[in-house]
Amino acid sequence: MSTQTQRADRPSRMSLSRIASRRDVAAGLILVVVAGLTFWLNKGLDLGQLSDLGAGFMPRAAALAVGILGCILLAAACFQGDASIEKTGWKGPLLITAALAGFAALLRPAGLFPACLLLCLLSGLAAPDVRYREIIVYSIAYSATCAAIFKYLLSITISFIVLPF
Amino acid sequence: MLETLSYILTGFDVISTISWIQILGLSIPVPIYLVLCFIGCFIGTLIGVLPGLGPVATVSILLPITYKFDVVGSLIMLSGIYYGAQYGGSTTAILMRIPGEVTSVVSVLDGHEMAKQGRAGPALGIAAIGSFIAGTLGTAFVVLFSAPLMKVALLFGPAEYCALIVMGLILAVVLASGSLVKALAMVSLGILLSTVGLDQETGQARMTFGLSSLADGIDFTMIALGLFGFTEVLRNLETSHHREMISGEIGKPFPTWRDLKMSIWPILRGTFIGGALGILPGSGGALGPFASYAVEKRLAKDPTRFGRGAIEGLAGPESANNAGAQTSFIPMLTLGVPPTALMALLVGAMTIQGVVPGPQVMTRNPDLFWGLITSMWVGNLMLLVINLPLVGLWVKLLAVPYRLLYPSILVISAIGLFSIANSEMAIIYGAFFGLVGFLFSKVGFEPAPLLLGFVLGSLLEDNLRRALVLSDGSLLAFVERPVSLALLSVAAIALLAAIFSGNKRSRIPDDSDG
Repeated sequence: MSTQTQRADRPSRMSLSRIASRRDVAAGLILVVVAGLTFWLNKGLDLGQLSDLGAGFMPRAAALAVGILGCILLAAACFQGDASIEKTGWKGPLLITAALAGFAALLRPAGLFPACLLLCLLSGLAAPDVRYREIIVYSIAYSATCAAIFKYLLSITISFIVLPF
Repeated sequence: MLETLSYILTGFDVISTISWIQILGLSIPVPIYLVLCFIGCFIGTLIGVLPGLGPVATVSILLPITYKFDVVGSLIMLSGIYYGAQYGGSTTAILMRIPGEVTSVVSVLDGHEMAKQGRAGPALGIAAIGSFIAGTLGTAFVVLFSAPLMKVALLFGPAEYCALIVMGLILAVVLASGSLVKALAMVSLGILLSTVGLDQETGQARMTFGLSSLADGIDFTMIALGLFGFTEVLRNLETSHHREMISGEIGKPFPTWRDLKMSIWPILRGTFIGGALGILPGSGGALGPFASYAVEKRLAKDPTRFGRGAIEGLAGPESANNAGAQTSFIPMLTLGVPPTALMALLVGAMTIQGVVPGPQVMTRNPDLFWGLITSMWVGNLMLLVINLPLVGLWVKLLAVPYRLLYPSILVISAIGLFSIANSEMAIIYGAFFGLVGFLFSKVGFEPAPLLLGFVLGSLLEDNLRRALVLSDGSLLAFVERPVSLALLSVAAIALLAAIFSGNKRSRIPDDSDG
């Protein structure tokens, strides 16, 4: 609580620190989990001695640092009030991830142009101010141009389009 | 002195190399490095003008494409993007009150006021001229200081290198944005990620999950593109992009003699301030314009003019940010220790092309070193010439809505990722890191320290191992040797100072923003 009196002359900071605290819990947890995971994954690796560091040394040292810092964050968060992480829309990230995965999946089977088209169109749909006709037309034009440039000018090794005949 | 002159001539020689390019069956002679420099500067200005896409994101997106060129060409182009973005960022700052780049935040203050008073033209002009002078002097600074610094660095042993890296990482964390603890955690996480793959010493697989695609470690481009390119897109989707333009006359982009007279000292001071701060790891480059503005306001005869269109308030910071952009190359080129995320990207680009960054670059790859430095000056010249007439074009481009821009970025990124190793998995990894970066941004983790830790991780481990082998396991080696002790002390002092000056510091944004 003494940290809050120190900040009495900066009221906006105080509310910021309250918002930050729930984030810090999540942040700290992530770090601790990552550290734990690393230690577990590196179980079999040799630590070695100081004069001859083994393969397991650096990952564990780094993980230790991550873990300790995570604990510090958690501890600090416990001394401040509870507040929420800002609201996140997951439609955007989901659509974009799907678009990228779709691109990867379509690239060899269908060719550069269809893959680009899928990526451009699907990701474009994630925009909050999306205009459907606009993104369709733009995607076709842009994908064609891009695929052509990469295929014919920069000699990428994927076909422009794979036709089933 | 004569030696330096001959090196500069080497640089000009390199940059005017002509190669024969095959296009559509014809063999055409092209001054390839000059062309790449121009392309870099052009793209740089373009992204500097467009908000929502920063130089770090752009460099990471274009990395795979540059692998088609040799290392000199790649670095010239990528560097051009960097300082081109400084120029571009000022244009939007002045015209639209939106700083295109983090370093143009200060230019908004008086630059936009000048624009509102119908003096957008002279404002843009003085920004360009100031930046050019700063860029020239900055490049000269790089030339003068690289050789002695490199000689010092050659005396470094593994213990000193270890200490240098630790100091560089700590300073980067201390001088950067947000929570100290989180930034340190990100650096550590970066180092952790750098250990994934086959350990070079023992050949043992570390955290590869049995995947052959991870045997060589996490590809640098995937993590860079994912964390900076994709994450940026995901984050931008959450904010709406509002743009209001200056309507009316921009006027001729030439300042008056009076403007020039009033600006010359701010320009020189800004160059010096920005240049000095640019060498520092972390946000040294971003601090420059702020410091310059504060100095000019202090020194002005009538400080109340500041914030109302005082040209010194524009000329100084603009020069500072460009000078900082040049001098931030120094630690990277001479010591091989990148001070910022963007420099880390360039280090990554060099490493992938087989060039080990460090003091030996000057002697082993003089073409690269001097060609790059010369391209800095040529680039600044190109930018001066490009920007003044092309302002109208940039203004039109600002009308392109972000909803069309970001799918375009994603397509180029995806193709680029694929082309690294002709593998679709790269795209998946990139997307994974993009999501990770997005999640991290929600809990307040910054990606730049992670990238720095990642890039320096293997160097750190290597040198640590060697230092300990040489000292037969004694940790005292790091404090017995004077240089190493000095470097570690600086790191310790900086860290302690940061901890005790309060742990929620005001946010100084770094290049990875916007």
